[in-house]
Amino acid sequence: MNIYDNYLSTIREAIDRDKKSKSFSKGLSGFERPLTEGVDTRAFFDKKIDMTPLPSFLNLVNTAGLKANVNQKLGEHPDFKHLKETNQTEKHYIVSVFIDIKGSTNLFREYDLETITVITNTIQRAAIHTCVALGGYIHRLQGDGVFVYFGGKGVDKKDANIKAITATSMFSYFVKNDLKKIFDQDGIEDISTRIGIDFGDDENVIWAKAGIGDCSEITTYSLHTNLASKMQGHAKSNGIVVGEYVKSKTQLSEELFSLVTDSYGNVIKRYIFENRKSGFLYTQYEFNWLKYLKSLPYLREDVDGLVPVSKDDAERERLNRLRQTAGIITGGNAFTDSEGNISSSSVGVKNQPHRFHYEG
Amino acid sequence: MRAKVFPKGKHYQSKKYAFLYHQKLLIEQTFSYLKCDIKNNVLVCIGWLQPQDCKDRYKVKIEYVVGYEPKTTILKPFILPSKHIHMYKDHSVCLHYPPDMRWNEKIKICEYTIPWVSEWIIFYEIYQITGKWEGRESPVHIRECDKNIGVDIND
Repeated sequence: MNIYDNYLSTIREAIDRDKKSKSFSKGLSGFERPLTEGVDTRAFFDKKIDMTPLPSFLNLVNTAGLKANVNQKLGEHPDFKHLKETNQTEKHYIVSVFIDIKGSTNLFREYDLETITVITNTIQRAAIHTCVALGGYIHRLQGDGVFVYFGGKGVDKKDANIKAITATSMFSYFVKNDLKKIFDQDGIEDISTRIGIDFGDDENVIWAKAGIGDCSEITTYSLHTNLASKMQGHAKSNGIVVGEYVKSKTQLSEELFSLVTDSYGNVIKRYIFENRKSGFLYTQYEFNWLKYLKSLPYLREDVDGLVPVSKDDAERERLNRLRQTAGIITGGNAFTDSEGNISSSSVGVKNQPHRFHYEG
Repeated sequence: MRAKVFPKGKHYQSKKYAFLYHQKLLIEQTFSYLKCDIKNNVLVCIGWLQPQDCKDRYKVKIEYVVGYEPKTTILKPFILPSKHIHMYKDHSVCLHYPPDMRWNEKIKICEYTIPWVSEWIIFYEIYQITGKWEGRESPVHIRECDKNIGVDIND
């Protein structure tokens, strides 16, 4: 996806410098240290990069009609940071997302420590910017991984779940396709991501201060935050596993969800949480993120893979789809579902014929 | 549209609540985005919806007085009223041409008015892009003062 080009060029540049320095030192026997400079980590960290996603991201976000949450600090969800100064707690829904980068140990076989520092940081920055661009709040960085919240006060629950799913799908695409191309050239395999997402509703999530004094943070106490982390552990390489509440809140097509299976296709751990006493069985699902991305109106597939469509093209395509729906309505074949969506799929109430009216 | 078909007798007045309650149940069973309440003999349903491919989320209010066609108002976003989009100055929309079907207390709001709200939004979003209303329209029009009501005037 060309929105990640900037991150890819940073990684490519670091790898090229790493190779050049090694090949030069190899050619000059007797020298213990390379004569050409390797990767300059100081220059990398000196580059002023803040939470604002790159323009390529912001264009996409703009086309999709979304808004980035640029003004944020690590671990300080703006809707709940006031709790840090008090002993109070608050109940409010949240979508918890755990993104882990696997296989970075393989990088040590090929590259210098400096190069690896730049690579892993760039991948993590890509994850952060993807989530921020889609309205996420970065809560914690764990090694190569990122723990993100989606949603907050005044944010629709369905929207929060959709944004979490979209951000993680885009990041998975970046790792599986764009990043893979770079590392494949050097014979490095298995750099992948594993993601777990779960939704805890208002009554199931408590926001409170954890820790003491300066050594504290605002966090959520919820079964579903725990389960998101657990589900990430059940995700396949470049896979996303979501809880059943995410599935029901997003109201996406059933085709995008399937039970988690092993490499032989056998269902594993259908219920990520079971409380036989209360009869609460909570299912985890594998999410088909590639199919989902292909269905998004602001992305299209070309020879280079998925690329964002321009704002004009997106609007033109949206008009076409609206007109298709209008055609279903005027053709007398429309049904309205429980959320107010109109289609010809016989789901919901059959629309009755009528004519709009007015005169002032 | 003021098409009063509900008799004003005492017997029917006492049954108003039952009629409203029945409609409320049907709406709540069919449409998850609407929250309904009955106050002063008026069934009021409010909710947010964003039909697929629509750019905006719309907050709508549907007010129903037994026997009258419901009044549907677009509360958010702010939309400039115009006859071209079938919206009156108070932001209520005219979804139905009365001669096509006389409204009565047996007509289910969940099967008529509510799907028509989604249709209005679809055609409004098309209108925003093209400047043309592409939904079916009545051959004649009514006056501003003939718009649908949101209070029980018989009470």
